[in-house]
Amino acid sequence: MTRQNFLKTLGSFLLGILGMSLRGLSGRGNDAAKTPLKEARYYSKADHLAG
Amino acid sequence: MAPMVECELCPRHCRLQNGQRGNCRARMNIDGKLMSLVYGQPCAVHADPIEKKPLFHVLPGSGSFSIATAGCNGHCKYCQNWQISQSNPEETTNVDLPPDKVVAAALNSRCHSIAYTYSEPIIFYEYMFDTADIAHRQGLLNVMVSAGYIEQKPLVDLCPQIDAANVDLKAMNDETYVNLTTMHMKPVLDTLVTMKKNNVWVEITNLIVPTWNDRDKDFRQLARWVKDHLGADTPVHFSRFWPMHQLLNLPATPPETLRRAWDIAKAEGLHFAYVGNVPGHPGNNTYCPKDHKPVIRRRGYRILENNIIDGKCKFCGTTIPGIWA
Repeated sequence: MTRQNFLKTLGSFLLGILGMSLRGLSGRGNDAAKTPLKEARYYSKADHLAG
Repeated sequence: MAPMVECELCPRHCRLQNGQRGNCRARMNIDGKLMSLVYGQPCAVHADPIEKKPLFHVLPGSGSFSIATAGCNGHCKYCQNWQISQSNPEETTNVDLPPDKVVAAALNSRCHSIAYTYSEPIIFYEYMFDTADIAHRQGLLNVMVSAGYIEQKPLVDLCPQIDAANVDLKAMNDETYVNLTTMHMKPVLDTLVTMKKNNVWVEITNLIVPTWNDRDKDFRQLARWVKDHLGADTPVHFSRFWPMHQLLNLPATPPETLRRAWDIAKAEGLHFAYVGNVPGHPGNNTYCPKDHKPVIRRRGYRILENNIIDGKCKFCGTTIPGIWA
């Protein structure tokens, strides 16, 4: 591996770690605080229906 | 006991007990209220060329900020995005992106439109609607890529928010439609007509799947229906199928089949027929319907040459329909 390729690989690795950290810090992902669920439009109460 | 609810968004009309979710996986009866489980929770976010939708008559060469959530109210055997469309929202990796943040991100990415796409935007209707409203006020266009399986009332309410749509027309008979997609054909045809009536710019994609919808008769029927009900200026994209999901046993669509579809559509009088998923095919280009010169030359999603000036062919002045500015 040339010196340049080695530095490129190292750079990508470090950026990857930084990216993962930022992702954690920004609170993204399924466990993060979410926009609350929204009541849907276009539905009816259907108590009269069988089943 | 919490009441049952009936979802009236799409023709399935799912009737849901408390705790049950709809066929689309994205809407659920929670204590007697129908809730969207995907509002502000896209699992796919990307800036794409608008040609990828495909929309060939809308701001060519521009970026379209594209979002999707998990779920779909169709279940196509060939789905290209089945990993997200056939998943529950809790099974995908989502980002928290409420409508105002989608618009901000689209503006930051220098996109001219927001595309509701990849899975099926109908099932994230409320998220799409609210985002589109903010986007319009910020000067962005809204485009929708959909299978068109929606009830008329929500569709009519949505149309003012949507500038352009690419709707899949997957077959021209109901039996094939149901077997291939689990959806019926008529509601999709109704969607196309309603969109057109309500000033949405409509383009159609017909994915040609070997042995399912690849006969000359199919192409002729489709072209005639489009011409009669939507007009000869409606773009139709005949797109190449690639083995995927539950149809891994089939070959990719042969280029000759796409060529036949393209030729038949033109012979039936459609002005703007295209061939998709075959980069470099002459069917990637837009031709002036009068002088037949290429007014937009493309290679795949890339614009090589644009000869439309103020919505007209620069060679002969014929108006080319679309949204050009």
